[in-house]
Amino acid sequence: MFRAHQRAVFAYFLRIVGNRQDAEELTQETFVRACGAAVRFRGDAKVSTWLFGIGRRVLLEAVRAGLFERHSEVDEQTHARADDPDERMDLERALASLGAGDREVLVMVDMLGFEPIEVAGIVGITPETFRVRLHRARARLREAYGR
Amino acid sequence: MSDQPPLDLRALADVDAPEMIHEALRRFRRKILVRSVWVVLAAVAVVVLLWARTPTTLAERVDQASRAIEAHPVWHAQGATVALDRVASLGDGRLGFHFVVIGKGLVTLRMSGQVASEDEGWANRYVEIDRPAHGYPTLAIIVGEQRTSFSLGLGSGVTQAVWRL
Repeated sequence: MFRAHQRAVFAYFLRIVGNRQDAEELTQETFVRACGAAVRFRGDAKVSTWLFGIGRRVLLEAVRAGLFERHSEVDEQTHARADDPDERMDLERALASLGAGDREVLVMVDMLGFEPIEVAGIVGITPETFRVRLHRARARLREAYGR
Repeated sequence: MSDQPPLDLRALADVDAPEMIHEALRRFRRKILVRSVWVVLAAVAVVVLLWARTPTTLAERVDQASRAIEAHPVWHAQGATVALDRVASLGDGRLGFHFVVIGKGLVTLRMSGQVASEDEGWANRYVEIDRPAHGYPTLAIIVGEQRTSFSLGLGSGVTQAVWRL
């Protein structure tokens, strides 16, 4: 079950924190906690929603611990494997130039394919508020991307 | 809201993810192990603390008993003064008495066939007896060869609540 979500969780952290080392650490910590919480998982949410909820708490704790202060530069090794490297790199740069909040909603919805209502639940805000946040993040990404 | 479709970011999810589940499971097991060790250590510490606090001597059992009565009748015999300080219920129908003895030479206390101990210094005497089923026990104060007995019944100064402990 965990293995099926490993890449998505890692990609989520990689796009938010911007470097592989921290993304690996956060992914591991997420799965460590998921192991402990698995017995309490009642199955009333999708596994991915439950797992990303844990991941987000791990991320917030890392933010409070000053993770983003340590790494302000985006790691060169974060680049996705892509058929069109230039375009993908531009997209990555545009995404990386946004604030963490914008990156998170875009990563969850437009990169990982979560439904906005699911992410609203994970983030802990109303779907309406989330839609506004998503709309603004998309506009900022488009502006940063320049197309 | 904008009518423009969102930029397609799905390709950015296609990253080389290293194997992390195995390491996560290893860390989880280590975490559980460490936590278990702490729980066991904490349990052992609690048991040790409880054991250390459990009164063992008669003096400790009488002094630390929760059901007890402070009673202070005083008896004089052959130049010795004996005061009853505390009577405690020791459970299983047993009563513990703490006497304070002031006197020169060897002063022995005997109660219901039991000789008082000397656990806590020369002036303190402790004795444990069965709660009397009927009547009242007798306190014998023996100084040298002289023996004087007192009934601990009505008029002795020992409150009747002692026998209901």
